[in-house]
Amino acid sequence: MMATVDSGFAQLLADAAHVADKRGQPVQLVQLRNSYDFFSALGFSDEDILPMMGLTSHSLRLIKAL
Amino acid sequence: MDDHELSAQLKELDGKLRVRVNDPGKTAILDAQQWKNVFHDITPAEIYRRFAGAAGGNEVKLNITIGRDTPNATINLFHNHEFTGDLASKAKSGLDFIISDGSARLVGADLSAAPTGQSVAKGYMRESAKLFKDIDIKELTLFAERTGGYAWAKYGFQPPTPDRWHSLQDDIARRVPTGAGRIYFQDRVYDITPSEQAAIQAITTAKHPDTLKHLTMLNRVLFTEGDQEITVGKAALIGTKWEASLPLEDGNPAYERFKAYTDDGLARGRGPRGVAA
Repeated sequence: MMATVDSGFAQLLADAAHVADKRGQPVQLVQLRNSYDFFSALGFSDEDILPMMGLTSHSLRLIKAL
Repeated sequence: MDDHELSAQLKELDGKLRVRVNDPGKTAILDAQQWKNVFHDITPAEIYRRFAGAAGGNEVKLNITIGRDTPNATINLFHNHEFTGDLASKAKSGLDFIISDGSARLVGADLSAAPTGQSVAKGYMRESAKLFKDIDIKELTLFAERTGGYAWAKYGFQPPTPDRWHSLQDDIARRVPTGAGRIYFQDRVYDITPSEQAAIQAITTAKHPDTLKHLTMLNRVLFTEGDQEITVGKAALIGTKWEASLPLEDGNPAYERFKAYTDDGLARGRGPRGVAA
């Protein structure tokens, strides 16, 4: 048995999630929307959230349209 | 599935999937009831089919050990590799799970020697979780560390108890001291915005670990390391060490998140491109 969860394996998963966020498939858009709602509820404006979440104006429109 | 059918399937899968009974006396012979104690109506052929489908054309092999009298098991999913030339060698890599007491634990994962990629890694996780859920396993656990401190949170894993959640919150808060406008990561200091500072503080003081996932959505890039963009969220979590748990329950936000990020994108087509900056 291998002893640990290798960092390289976690890196593959992290990279895959990064690609998924950028592609913005509907299932990931829901996750982005959840976080947008969380940050909004904390009182942040769209101008705050945009750079914080690394979103474009276009992507913010897609997320808010959900 | 009766003993005869189990035996026929295992013969058919010889060299691809092997099953043995965990018996120190080495006298126990596998029977269909022992298999069903763990895997219910899911057959060896079905299990192999699922993982082979996620292997991206690589030849995957499975070694399964099941308890003689208990619904416990270990699953070793692996690839063999032979390297030729001056540095000729053999290597083995894959994933190891232990099924025990109604939960499954990922105890080893290493695809470094395998010619695999992101889609295989997430495919194996997707099929593993689905298999566990199908055999009534309630949670998937692991120990998150190094890059996994970030990656597992991204995929919906959370600390399983308030104590462990508070411990992780303390670790994150040490990297982002209140009001400092800075994040400490790998012996260096980076400026963060007041909004990022406030967001992180909200997460490190939140009661419920469900907020952990939002930390992984802080995607402003602090610096680039090779081809890796280190974001605020990564700087907050890479290198943290924490016990991680994922409930395998449809409708649970953590599991829905896991499914979203391990989704192969085939079932529902591609969405619009270019969402994140």
